[in-house]
Amino acid sequence: MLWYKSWLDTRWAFLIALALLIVLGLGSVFGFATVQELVKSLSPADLGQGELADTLREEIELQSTFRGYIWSQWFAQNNTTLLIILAAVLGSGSPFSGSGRGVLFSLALPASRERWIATRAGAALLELFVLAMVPSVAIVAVAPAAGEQFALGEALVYGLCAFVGASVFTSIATLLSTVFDDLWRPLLLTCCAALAIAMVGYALPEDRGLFAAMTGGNYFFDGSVLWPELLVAVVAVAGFVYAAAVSVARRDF
Amino acid sequence: MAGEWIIETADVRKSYGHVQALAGLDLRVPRGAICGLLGRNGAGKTTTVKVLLGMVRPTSGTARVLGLAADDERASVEIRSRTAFVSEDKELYRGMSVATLIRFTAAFYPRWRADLASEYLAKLELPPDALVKHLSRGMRTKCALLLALASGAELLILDEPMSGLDPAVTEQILQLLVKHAGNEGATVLFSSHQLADVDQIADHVAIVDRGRVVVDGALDDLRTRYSRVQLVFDGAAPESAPSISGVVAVRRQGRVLTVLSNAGADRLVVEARGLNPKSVEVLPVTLKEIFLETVAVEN
Repeated sequence: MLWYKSWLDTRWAFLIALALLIVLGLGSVFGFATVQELVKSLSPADLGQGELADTLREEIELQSTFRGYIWSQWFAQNNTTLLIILAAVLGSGSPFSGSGRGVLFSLALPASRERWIATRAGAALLELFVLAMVPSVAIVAVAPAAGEQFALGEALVYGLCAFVGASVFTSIATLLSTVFDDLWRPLLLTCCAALAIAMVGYALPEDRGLFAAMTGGNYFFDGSVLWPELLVAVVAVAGFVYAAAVSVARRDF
Repeated sequence: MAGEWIIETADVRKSYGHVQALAGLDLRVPRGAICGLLGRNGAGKTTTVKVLLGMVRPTSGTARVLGLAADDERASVEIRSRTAFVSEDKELYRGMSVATLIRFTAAFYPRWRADLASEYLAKLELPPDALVKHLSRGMRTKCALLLALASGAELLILDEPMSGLDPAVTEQILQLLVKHAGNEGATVLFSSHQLADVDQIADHVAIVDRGRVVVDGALDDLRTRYSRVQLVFDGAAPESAPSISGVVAVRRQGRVLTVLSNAGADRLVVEARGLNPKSVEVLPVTLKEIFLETVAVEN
């Protein structure tokens, strides 16, 4: 029944997010033709010399294939950004009652606080998994309608990498939700944490860091996965959820 | 006798920063009682209830409910499986319908009484398909009470259950509580600052003030113990405090001296005659008087 309660608390955020990601993901598929026309109209030779010109040439080359375009536009940019925000949304809100109403009613039920927090975090992570995977699979399924192909295995790898990375933000929001009673502070502070992690990422080599792992860039270019980053992410998720359980166990209501 | 007290706290203290909500609370509620927990706003009633249900950890002291330690997480789950609670705010899950909320709650209680749930649903005229967010405060209270009564709990803890309700709903709920406690043998602890409600249904009373229990016991015993004696003198009433044991409050007005004592009327009358009054009259004491005088003396 706690799972049902968690589902009720998060279902609208989850369903709206799922619809949004599917629409935007599929929009990317059908936008390829337009981008192709734009790419064909550009001549790499006209871009001149310099660092910026080199970057633009690389980008044009990337966008010239459907595989490169989908990875660059969807998995490396829109999907990653949206998934981080949605991960924070799913993790935010009281573990005892998403709306913040009925918290004492929940606490009076014969269920331990650890069970509440585990169920809430579990439900949020499960929903995040669906948000990461379903649009990825939808892109593969719909690509033939746009006259293109995208490998299912590759889409699943990107989806999984994005899920593992984004789950860090769900767990941060879950922890913060045990400290703050409202929805907004955990959400905003988690977004701030994402910005801070992004800043740290700028100091790292381009192909390292949490965001690099989330986009699956290494897999796109050389077929490798950033296992150390993903492992750290999994450990961080476990740590934040454990901290949330400790925090909620100590709290007075 | 083992198991005599369903609730037993010893020197429970709880501080929030510099604010002391409970300052050595010693509360004992006998099994099968309907106990009114009285106190002014901020006296510590809600904190007491929350300590019993494991929602608040005491700073020190021990609290036992059904013989189990209330501050132990595992024991607290066991306590809550045998205890039902109605909170002061009566907030339930707003997105659920009454029927869904009943099914949801039923899943947590091993001794859930589906027959009582159906009976009270009809008796309290609750619309099963209505969403909780569309219920009035009175209806929400009824719904919360239905969930508590149908849980099959041995102990019902109700925090200000009648606050904000009209007299008709209050009466209906009071009657329901008395009948349920009688039929099911449940113990009821309900906090209130509505003295009339407590006076109407409680057989035990605990008055809390500044985080401590200042008076407790069976209501009949309290009424026997507390007596007011009015002494009329030929001249002005004596200025010095009379040396009468158990005096809680003394009032002088011209030739009249009124003494409230907690040592019983007989003893009070005997000792009062030593002051040589013209007349001695024993007056009945109400719960309201006990409450007001006790809290006034404490303050």
